[in-house]
Amino acid sequence: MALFKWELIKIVRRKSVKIALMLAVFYVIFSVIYNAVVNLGFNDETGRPKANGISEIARQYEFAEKYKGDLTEDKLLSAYHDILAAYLEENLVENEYDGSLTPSQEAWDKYIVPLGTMQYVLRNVYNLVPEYSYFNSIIDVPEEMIEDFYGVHKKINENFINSKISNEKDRDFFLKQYEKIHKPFQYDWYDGQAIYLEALPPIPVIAALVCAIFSAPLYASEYSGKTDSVIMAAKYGKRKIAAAKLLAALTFSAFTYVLCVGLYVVGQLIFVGTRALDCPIQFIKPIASAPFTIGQAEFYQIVLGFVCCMAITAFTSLISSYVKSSFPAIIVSLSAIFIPILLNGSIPEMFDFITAVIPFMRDYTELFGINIYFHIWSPYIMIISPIIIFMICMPFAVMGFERHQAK
Amino acid sequence: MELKIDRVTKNYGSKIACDRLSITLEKGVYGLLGANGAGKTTLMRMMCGILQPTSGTISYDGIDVSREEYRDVLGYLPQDFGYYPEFTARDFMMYIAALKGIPKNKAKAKTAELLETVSLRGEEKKKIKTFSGGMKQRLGIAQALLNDPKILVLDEPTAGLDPKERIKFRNIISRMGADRIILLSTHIVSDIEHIANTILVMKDGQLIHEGSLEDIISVIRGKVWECTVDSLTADGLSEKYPVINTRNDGGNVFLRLVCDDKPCENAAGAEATLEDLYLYYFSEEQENKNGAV
Repeated sequence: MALFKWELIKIVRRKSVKIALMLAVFYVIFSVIYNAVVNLGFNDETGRPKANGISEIARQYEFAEKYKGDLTEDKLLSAYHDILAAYLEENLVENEYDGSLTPSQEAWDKYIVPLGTMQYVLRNVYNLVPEYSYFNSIIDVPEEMIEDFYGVHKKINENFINSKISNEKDRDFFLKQYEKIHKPFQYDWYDGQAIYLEALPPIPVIAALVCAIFSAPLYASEYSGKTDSVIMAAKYGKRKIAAAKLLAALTFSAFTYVLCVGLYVVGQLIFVGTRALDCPIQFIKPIASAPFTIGQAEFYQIVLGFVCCMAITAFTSLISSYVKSSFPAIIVSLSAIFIPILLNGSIPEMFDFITAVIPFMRDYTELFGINIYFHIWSPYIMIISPIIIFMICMPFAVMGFERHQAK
Repeated sequence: MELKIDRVTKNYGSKIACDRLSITLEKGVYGLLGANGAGKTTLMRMMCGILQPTSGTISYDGIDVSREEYRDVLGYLPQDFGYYPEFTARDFMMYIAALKGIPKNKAKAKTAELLETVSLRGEEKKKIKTFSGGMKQRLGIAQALLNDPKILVLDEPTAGLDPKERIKFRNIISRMGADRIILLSTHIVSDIEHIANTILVMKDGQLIHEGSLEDIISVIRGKVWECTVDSLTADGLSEKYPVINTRNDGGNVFLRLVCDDKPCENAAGAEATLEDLYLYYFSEEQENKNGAV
């Protein structure tokens, strides 16, 4: 315990750690505020923020009161009728650019704006029905089809799964998974939570960066600082200190992660609260068979980020135990974090399997995917893989230090 | 109490740093002498279990030096002593105490006592990065003594110490040597001369002499000469023989040198010292080699 405490002190006292942690916290706070004030405000025609996001969030939640809770047929029809009202002949004006007829500003403000994210719920689903695949055509969707919202939703998902997956077993997995989605959907204005969820994945990367910065010198600085001789000649100077160092690094990683992600989540709760966390992820992207709510998707991302951070810490510690100075350890570690991110999206589909096992290569959006590896759903692989990396790196890191020769 | 080094060899690629070295150390103070690159540091590191021999074994009362039980009775001051710049002297001592498995309360008391011993009592709250070379060295000595070691290995412990501190250090070591094994290496020959019961001389990775000061010096007895000659003769003798001391004496030069035969007509035999022996063996190597192995 005493060794663990001292190793923790050694980490905390490093200037590089203090600076990195401070910058990470600054980034998180900036991100939280930027989401609330800029991303959730609405912009003028030049794209500059027009409304303060905080007041806009309150306004949107107020609008959403009407539709909040079970997304029933009545609520869907009510929203549909509001859209139809906006497109009544007396509310249409000629568009000055292309001469088309669009709702006047007054009609837009009266009928469309109060719908909030309800308009996207409808639009996103019916856009995927081939004959109604562009926005304004929602008014062309027959009422009985709106009444069959869940049927349409199921059909577009089934069509997608059947067309994309040839393996019967995998297909059944996703079809069964879809059946588990809670219906009727729980509705609330979800844009706030969706924006915070979308902006979450970089936070674990930032935390991992801090982890790499303090893990790189974990063992290597003892070699380059020539303290290895004194340490290794002491009673607990081999395996016990190596384990204490690793434990301290992992503890500090957890602290860093909790600090960064915790600050982010607290900020999110302050600005958008807990409302809409129970909305299904199918509001964000209708084609998704995972029975996850937005809150669960965020929790998944938080857990994924955590295991990735721990894997990066263990991996960096492993490198640190085998190199003579911190520099190569930090280079290898930063490469391990950033190369997958840089390559993300540019790797051919046939290598999907590899990308799923590399930390930080993918994020919560995989919940919308239909990848299966050896009968395991890829979001599970993405969690399991960093845990395996972590488990492999830990004993080898300890062994690396234990076997080090103080030359 | 017996530290047995049995046919220990250490190779660095094709270079042999220690060559089939065997010796058994018992209670007492051992002084290790040798030029840079003779293999002293390599031997000491192997004795501390932080460097694996290529072949051979080192054990203490049958316990291999790689074992925790051995490290429990070991105190070590390395030649190039690393420290944590952001730590205070007290932090550093407490950290090493934790590494040595000393309980917190005992560690506090021992830290205070040892910092007093090495004259760092008032400096304990200062960061090590503010310390002079001598202060760091004294801190290094203090950390080596924390666990009251039965085996104390000190690699160049007096480097950077002022004469007063060196004498104080010698006295501490002399007192401690009665009931433990102490091995120290230094280039300051007089330190060894004053405190070592046994002197070990290493050359090219091998132990070439082992014995008391008297035994060792007997090797060069009758080979130490003093003479006063003119400067031209002095130049000639300096080129030919290892010179221990040179002093201008009026228009002439006083020389003390080591050689097998009488170097000049007016040379007179002098009492041999350890420094003479050191120079006798290592004068050429000292000039040729840089850096310890």
